[in-house]
Parts: sequence; C-alpha cells; structure tokens
Amino acid sequence: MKKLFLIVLFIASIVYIVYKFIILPSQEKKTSAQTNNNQVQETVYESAGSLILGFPDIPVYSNLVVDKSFKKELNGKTNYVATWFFEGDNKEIMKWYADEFVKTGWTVVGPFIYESENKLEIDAENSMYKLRLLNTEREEGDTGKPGELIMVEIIQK
Amino acid sequence: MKLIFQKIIKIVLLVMFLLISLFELKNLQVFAQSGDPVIAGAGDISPRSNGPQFQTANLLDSINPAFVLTFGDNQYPDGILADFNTYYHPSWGRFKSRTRPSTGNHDYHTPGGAGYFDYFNGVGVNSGVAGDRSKGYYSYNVGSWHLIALNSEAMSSTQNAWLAADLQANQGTACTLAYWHEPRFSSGAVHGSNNRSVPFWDLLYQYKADVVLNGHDHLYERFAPQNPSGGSDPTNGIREFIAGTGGAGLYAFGSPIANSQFRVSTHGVLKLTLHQTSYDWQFININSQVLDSGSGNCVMGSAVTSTPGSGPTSTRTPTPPNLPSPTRTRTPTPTLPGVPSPTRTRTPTQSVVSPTQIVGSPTPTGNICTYFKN
Repeated sequence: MKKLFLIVLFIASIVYIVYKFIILPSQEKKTSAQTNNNQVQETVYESAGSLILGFPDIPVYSNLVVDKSFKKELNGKTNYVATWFFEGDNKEIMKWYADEFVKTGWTVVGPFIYESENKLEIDAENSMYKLRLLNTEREEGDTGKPGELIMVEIIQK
Repeated sequence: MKLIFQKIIKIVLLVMFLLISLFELKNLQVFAQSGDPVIAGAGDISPRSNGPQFQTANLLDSINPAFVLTFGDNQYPDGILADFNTYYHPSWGRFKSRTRPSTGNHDYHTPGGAGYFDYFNGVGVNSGVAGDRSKGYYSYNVGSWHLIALNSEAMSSTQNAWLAADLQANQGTACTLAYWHEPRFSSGAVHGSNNRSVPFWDLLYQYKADVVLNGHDHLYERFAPQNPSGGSDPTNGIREFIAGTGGAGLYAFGSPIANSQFRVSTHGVLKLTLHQTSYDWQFININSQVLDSGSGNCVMGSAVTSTPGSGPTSTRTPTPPNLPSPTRTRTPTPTLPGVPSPTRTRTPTQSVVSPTQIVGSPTPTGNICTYFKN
C-alpha cells in the first residue's frame, strides 16, 4: 500500500514537473513571440454624426441619432465603434436589440445587468464579428454632447 | 533491494518537493513587495450584481498592496449604503482597512455622497479615511511619496486652495501622486477628455507632481508625461493613467488623443511600486496577465513657474474621403487666481525612462478586448 502511494506520488510529481518546466514555458514563449510579431500601429478613422464607411450592417433602433463612429485597422483586422444618442425606455430598446440580433443571425448572450437594472449589455457574435452593445450616459464636461448613449463595439474575428 | 528502491524513491521525492517549493516561491515573489511600498487600485468598481469586481478583488489579494486606491464610482448605480454593503463589501471591502478611496459621480447620486461616506467613514461619522464629508479630499504619505485623493465631483476654489497649500507644504517629498475620478485626458468613446480637472492639473504641474490616476471611462489608458494642455513634456510632465476597470461594464476607445501610449478595454487593476525617486507600473487583467508595464522617474528640479507650454500634437489619422472631418477642441488652460507661486526645488533633473510593454492585439479569453501601443 505504502509502495503504491509512493509510486502514485512519484508519477504525479513527474507530471507536475513536466508541465511546469517544459509545457508551460514553451506556451509562454509562443505567446511572447506572437506578441512581438504584432507591433503594428492602429489606424483610426472617425466620423461625427454618421456611420463610417464600411460599418457592418447591424440592426439599429429607430430614431437613434449617431454621435460618432470609428473604424480601426489593426493587425490586418478592422474593428468598429459607434455611439448613438437615444431617448426612451432603455430596457425596451435593449430587448429590441437582443431580439433583432437573433433574427439577423447573431448568437446573443444577454441582455444582462452590468451596473444596475437600467444599465444593460448584450454580447453577440456571428461568423465574422464579435459585438458588445450597452447603454450608458455621457455627462456635462465630458468630450462631446451629453446624453443617454448606446455604444457598440464590433471586433472582427 | 526493496529497501534501496524505497530510499531512492524517497530521495527523488524530496528533491522534487524542494524544486517545486523553489519554483512556487519564485512565482510568489512576482507579487511580493520588494521593500518599496506597493499600491494598487481601479475605479468604476462595483455593479449592483456579483460581477467582475470579485475577480479584480482577487487580483488585489494576489498583489497584497500596502494601500488600495479607488478612482471613484465605487458602487453603482447610486452609491447607496445598502448596495455598498451587499456588493462592494464582499469584494473590495475585504481591503477596507487599507483602502484610500476617492469618490465618483455615481457615488454622488446619493445626495452629499452619503452612502460613500457612511461606508468608508462610518454611518454618520463626519471624518475618516474618505476625508471630511463636506470635502472628500485628503492627502497622506507613503514612503517618499505624497499621495493626494481629490474630489472631481465637488470642484471648488476651496478645494483648489487646499490643494495648493497641501502641495506647498509637502515639497519635501520626492514624488507626488494624485487621484480622482474624471480624467483630464481620455481617448474613451463614451466620456473622453474632461476639462473639469484643469485646475488640479495646473497646480499639480506647477508643483512638479509625477503621476495622476483616474477612472470614469471604463477602460485602461496610459499617457506619456504631458503638461495641462496636453503637450508632450518628458522632463516636467505628469503621467496620467486611467483604470476605470474595477468591475463596471467596459467602454470602447474612440480616436487616440495626443500622448496616449497604451490602451486596453478589459477588467483589471493598476499596480504601482513606489520607489524612492521612481515608480514601476503594471496593469494586470483578471486572468493575472500583465498587459502593460514600465517604469518612470519622478520629476526633479525647480518647480515650473510658467503656464504650461506647447499645445497638444495630434496623432489622429486622416478621415477617409467622403466623410466629415473629425473635430475635437481643447479648452485653454486657465491660470488660478490666488494660488501661491511654488518655490520647490528638487535635486537633479531626470527624464522619464521609456517603458517596455506588451504590444499587439491578442484576444484574452472571455470579454472582447483589444489592446495596443503607439
């Protein structure tokens, strides 16, 4: 019994050492190398008051007013950000978004609460993009016009 | 033969045990304090749910800082005491005795920030770790550093005069760090830069402060040392960090503004090691990955007596054809009436050391997350 215990302990130790000293360092090295290869400047294009050229075709709730939109090119991928002003019931709007994303083929997680019952976030993805949409607000003194905002960030996969 | 075999196994196990112990000890030392004080913090912390604030609190456990700093919006949505007790307390509240908080706009949704002061100072107690209820600003020393918690939600000439006097009285400390909620400079798409704290920046720059920490935009951003107008100033400038990443829903970045050096939208905490005349920083995400790190020297030499110099230099790329040109304006920095002229002198002038960072755009598991450096 004691011998069996020692053998099990011995094998477990071997597995641990192989993982810690051989497998894990090689994974870290790989990550580091990938990171170093990605030293590419981000290029950002900005449009005020309208959606920027090439902005992905996503559902947009009626009567929203575009604040700003951005197109970001990084490492061969193009990501997008947009903010809209809205008035009305944010829960209703977020529910509408969740339903519409499903109807247009997105896989949706949420809406879930991120700050309070009135602050909701939807995460969604399709074959090309990952998307995060939330409602928030901008106050007096911040850059730009204050108001209730819908923000969406779309990341190319 | 059997005995020899057992002895060999025992010796091998003992050697392995020692090796594993040494390895794990080495890992622990990553987070251990090297003698110089370590502080850590973030803003925009506790949603009204059991959210990522618990994961960022676990990071604080690993870092084990001497002080935990908060950069406002400690408890969403309205800074109510009951919500502090239900959501903040089981997470960041674990470090309450060593927390030096600052308040945010959401904390002031409750009149006078009552819930915030009740939580940190004690119910109905006027003064405590969060400062006097009527002020919400205070200062303290950590090693050779002077740390100042300011209140961007109740700007007043009284607070500005207090800040000037506090800076004047602490010119003997080698380095100065100030923190509050709403950032002077931000590339965030939701809030962006905010002129509210210009008076803070003017005074801090005049008195050769070194580091400013903010929240408000729910993201992490690091700037190169700059003056209050946003002009690059490697010699006398202040380095601003935004770490509104304590647990609230994350925001995206818009166009990067001048001097922005590193941007990432993910939950995590900022760790600073405060050396005698320098500092190290690390931004650590909830997967314990260090996404940004570097070192800087404290500003040395005579106090800056003139109004900040050059204006910002744009790093924005051109808008594609057929699209309206982006416009962004920055209000000129006003001078503060009645503020005494600083006479502080520090020994030799040094410039800030360039940091090394993780760069690129890997996508950590879980949240959407992009990060990069200029």
